[in-house]
Amino acid sequence: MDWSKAKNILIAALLITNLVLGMAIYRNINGSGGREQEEIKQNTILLLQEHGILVEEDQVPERIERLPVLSVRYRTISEESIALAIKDFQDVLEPSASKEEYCRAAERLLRGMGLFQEFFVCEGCREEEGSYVVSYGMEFEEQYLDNSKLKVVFRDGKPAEISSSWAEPVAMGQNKKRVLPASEALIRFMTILEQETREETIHVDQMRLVYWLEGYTENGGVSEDTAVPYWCIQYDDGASVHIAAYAE
Amino acid sequence: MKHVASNQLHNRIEKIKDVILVVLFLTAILLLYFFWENQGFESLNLSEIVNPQEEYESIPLDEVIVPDNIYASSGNGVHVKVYSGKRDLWKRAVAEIRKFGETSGIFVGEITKEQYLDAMSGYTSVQFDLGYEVPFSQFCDYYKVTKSQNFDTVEGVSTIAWSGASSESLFIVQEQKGKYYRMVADQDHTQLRAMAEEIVASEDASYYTISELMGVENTTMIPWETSVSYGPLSWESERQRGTDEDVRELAQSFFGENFDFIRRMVDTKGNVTYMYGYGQKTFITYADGSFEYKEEVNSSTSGAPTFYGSLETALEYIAAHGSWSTFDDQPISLFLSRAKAVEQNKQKGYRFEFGLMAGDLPVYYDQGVPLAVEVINGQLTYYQRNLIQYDLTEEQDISVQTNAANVIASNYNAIYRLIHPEAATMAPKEAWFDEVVVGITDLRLGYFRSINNSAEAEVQEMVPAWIVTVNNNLRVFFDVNSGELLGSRTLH
Repeated sequence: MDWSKAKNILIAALLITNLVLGMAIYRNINGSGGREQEEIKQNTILLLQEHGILVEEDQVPERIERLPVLSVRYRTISEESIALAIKDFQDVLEPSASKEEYCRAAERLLRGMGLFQEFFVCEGCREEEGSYVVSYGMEFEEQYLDNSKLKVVFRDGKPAEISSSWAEPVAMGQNKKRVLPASEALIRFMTILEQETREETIHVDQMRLVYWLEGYTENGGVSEDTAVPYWCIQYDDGASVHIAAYAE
Repeated sequence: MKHVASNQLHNRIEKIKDVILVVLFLTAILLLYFFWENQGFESLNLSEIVNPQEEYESIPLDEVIVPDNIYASSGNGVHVKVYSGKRDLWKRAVAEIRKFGETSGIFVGEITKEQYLDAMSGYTSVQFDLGYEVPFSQFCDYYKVTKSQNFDTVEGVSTIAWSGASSESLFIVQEQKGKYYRMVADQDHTQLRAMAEEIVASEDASYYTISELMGVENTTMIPWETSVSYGPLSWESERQRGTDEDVRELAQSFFGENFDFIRRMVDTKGNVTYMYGYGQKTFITYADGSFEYKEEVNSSTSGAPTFYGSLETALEYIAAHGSWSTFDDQPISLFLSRAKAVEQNKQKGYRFEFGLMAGDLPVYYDQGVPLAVEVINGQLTYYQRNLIQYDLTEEQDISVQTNAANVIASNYNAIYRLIHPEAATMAPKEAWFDEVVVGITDLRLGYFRSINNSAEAEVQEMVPAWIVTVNNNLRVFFDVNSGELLGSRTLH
């Protein structure tokens, strides 16, 4: 037997096998092909529509395969330090001040207290019964920590109070785990809503992947915690549902 | 020349092709593995391949199953309690029980408590009190005792005894239901009389019933004079002698590959909770050095768990999670101290508690136990680990300065107030004495280790103590030398 020819054939066969296996694994890691994903998305949207849930195509995020956990540390701000900072804050905003000016003033206040961090994200300023409330969220390494908030309230152009339910992001975990596809999260969302009796159509406002602390209460006696990925689906102007995003 | 050069080139090419073949083949196997397991490349853990996870060696059941009490009497109402060598004695006793089982035509009949006590006190006798109840059928199966048809009469066993009152018999006690049985063979096939005489002749402490010593009706046995081999011993928790890495490894053993994705919470007291999912599995490391693991019962399974099968599951689990040594590889002397049937979500199982020995004496805590495990239908659902390490001093023979009866007599007020907290401000009454003494269900020597006081103490020390159990639900500790009340705890 010509072993040399046999080796050539074997090498060719193994090369093709490895190529096929490699492509299959690549597809498994990075998700199904674009067309298949698009089809799943469309089918999901149609299914939800049949169950009285309206969601736009562009509201369904692209698939994110794997995410780590996020370690957080709970922070509290003492009433004394807030009172002192407010007392020492010299700037007084004009009644005609814009919302941007309120945001800048809030940042100055927080920086003066040594509290302002790079992961603070100003979510805007809104008027509430004569007060102006500047809200901050936490965004760490492009991931949003949903139930961590800080608010600065202005009255008569001056800071009046600071309220917070503040979990400070510390570090991302070293290893990543597969995350539930958005389509599957929507199916679970539909299942949750079907357990409630309702007649009106549900309108999904926004769907995004966030980090969330299950059962977080401000005075729970916990100093450190771990946030894991959740799909946050906001609907009907204010309601929201969090769905665990780690796939089993 | 040309021909030779051509041959050399050809050979070189063939060698290269051989290498390529091997590489492609191994790559194909690796890719097939990833494809089959549907995992990413980051799941490949070279350290696990180079240093595969060691297999854990459990300890045999016989190592932990030791009777709680072994008493022998020469028939004069005085009993001798065995302190050392219980394991060997029990092995010998089991061999004798097996011999008994081999006889045919065994008759099983129920007797009264008085008849049983009379047989144990008025005649040469030996009693093996397990300290917990085992289904009698499973007991026979485990120890390979041939079962007669009549054995079905006996539901459970907590004590097995022999008495010269009926030397061809074995006595069975099912304490939980207050039932006493006599199993009668055609003649005495055992060597239990010799064993009883051997124990009586030993220098172990003599025990008397409370009735005899204190004039109040109570058949619980207590010593008159006794000694201990060691004085106070300083101790450290397993956690104190271990490192953070030891704790992490222990935590990781519960969650496996999911450890990097579990929720880790630290509270303001320093307790760390690791939680998988929505609490399906929870592991807590407490600031006092203890650990606790809980797992939700898998309601989809069903079955009839056996005592020894569940115990074996428990021992294997402990071996794989923390092992039978402390963090710094010191072996620990543990024994099964308590076992009871439990139920969760309509699934049956057992709770096992393990005691720790310091020399010849068991160690008692004012909170928790050294090891506790719950096995529900073959699934481990609870594991508590609170081990300590101590250094034994030079062995001595130290006479205990107080007398158990006198300690009770001097402290009955305090014990009564522990039973009845509402009487805290009331003046003591004579009737309290009778109620307390009648209620004593166990009294023994042991080491008392206080968790509650250890945080403030400069030196963590456990002391020899009288361990008094009242009404099977309250345990009170007294210093053996001063008679001082050291602490108490409620039993569940």
